[in-house]
Amino acid sequence: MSYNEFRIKRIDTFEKEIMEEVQYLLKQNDLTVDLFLEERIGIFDGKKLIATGGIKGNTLRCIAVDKAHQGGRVLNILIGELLNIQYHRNVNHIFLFTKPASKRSFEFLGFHVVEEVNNEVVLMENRQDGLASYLKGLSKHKVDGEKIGSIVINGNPFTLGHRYLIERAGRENDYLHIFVLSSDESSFPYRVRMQLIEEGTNDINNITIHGGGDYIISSATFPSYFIKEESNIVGLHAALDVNIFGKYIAPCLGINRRYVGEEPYCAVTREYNKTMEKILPQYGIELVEIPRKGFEGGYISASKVREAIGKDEIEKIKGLVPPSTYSFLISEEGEKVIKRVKAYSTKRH
Amino acid sequence: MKIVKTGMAGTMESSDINITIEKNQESGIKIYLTSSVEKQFGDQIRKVILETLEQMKVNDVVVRAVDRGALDCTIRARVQSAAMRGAMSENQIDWGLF
Repeated sequence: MSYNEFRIKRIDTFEKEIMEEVQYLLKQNDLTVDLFLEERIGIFDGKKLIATGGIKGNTLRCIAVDKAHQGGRVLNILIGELLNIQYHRNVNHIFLFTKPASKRSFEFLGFHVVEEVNNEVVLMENRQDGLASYLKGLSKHKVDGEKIGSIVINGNPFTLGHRYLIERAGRENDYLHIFVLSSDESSFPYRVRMQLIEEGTNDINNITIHGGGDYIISSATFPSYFIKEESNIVGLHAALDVNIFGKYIAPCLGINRRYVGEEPYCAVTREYNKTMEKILPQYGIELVEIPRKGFEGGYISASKVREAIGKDEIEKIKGLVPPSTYSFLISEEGEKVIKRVKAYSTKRH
Repeated sequence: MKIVKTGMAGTMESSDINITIEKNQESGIKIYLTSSVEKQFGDQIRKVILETLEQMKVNDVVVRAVDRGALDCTIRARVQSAAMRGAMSENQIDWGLF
């Protein structure tokens, strides 16, 4: 496709020379290369790369325009093309991160601020009513009470550790809202994670299970959960996500407590918990950190379950998961998921 | 004309308008407009979008428009294309409508 003198081209990660230019352009704009994008395009002026941008899920990533072409039509062409690609992928609710200085440029292109943190990072979406309409849907599930708890879990897969946390939070609160991460970047697909959480908690009456949607630890609000990032970026992303939760989601359901399990393993999750500890009280939400449930001298964790699956030691899982998760894993459908888990075994979440 | 999926037409280039049309979960037509000439022409742009949709008998949709100073004829053409893509009837255009 061409726009007069500019050429737009898809870029493959193995095109070494062009990728070097991409890296240079990103660096010029203080950005790092994400190698795991689903799409990457470049705009060329003759042979020279003057702009690049990419797509992952419902987000636009790694967007950079050569300094000499900033403030002109190049950004418009770039974003227009990325939105066009998203349209053909059937993705129409789109997010991007940018620096506050570039906020105006994206506002001209129909993006709206969801949340801004520390004058350092802004999350934007292409819908004026995006967050508002999500909150409107959520508020229908509001239950009155004095102590309203919340838990956000991935449940990859649902273990006795999750069960322990939910039981305890359910007992200590009048009502409990559970949010299940909906990004499909974990080894257990969203649908299965959701199903196992529902089955594993169906005897507890004072809870509602929600899909986390785009605004709770999604690849839009907290991409660091799914990709490795430098720690200052992790902190910023975490602050963004926690602010959205505290400022918008919690008040909408009257939530005044958030429960987490202590994190002995993963540095990103630990950083996230630390951020919650700092930010949530500002919104009148108490963070309750519960020590993990022990098992045979260690702790129960979903990653241990995946590790055992990877080693074909399904028997070992019995003590770590509720019967519902176990019987799923030995079912025919479970077999398919196990194959997927094995293929993912190098990933963290 | 019934919108069955999201339809999009137009670019973000100067003198163009990017139109996205999707089903409205509620009834009525809702227009969200971003325009570089909002102050002078915002109302006129909304009017052209609305009239075009009415002409095509499109109801209950959300329209997101990102305008870069498009003329009325451009706006009309982009709305028509987006609506027909959304109705999946791009190849069965009833020219009598226009």
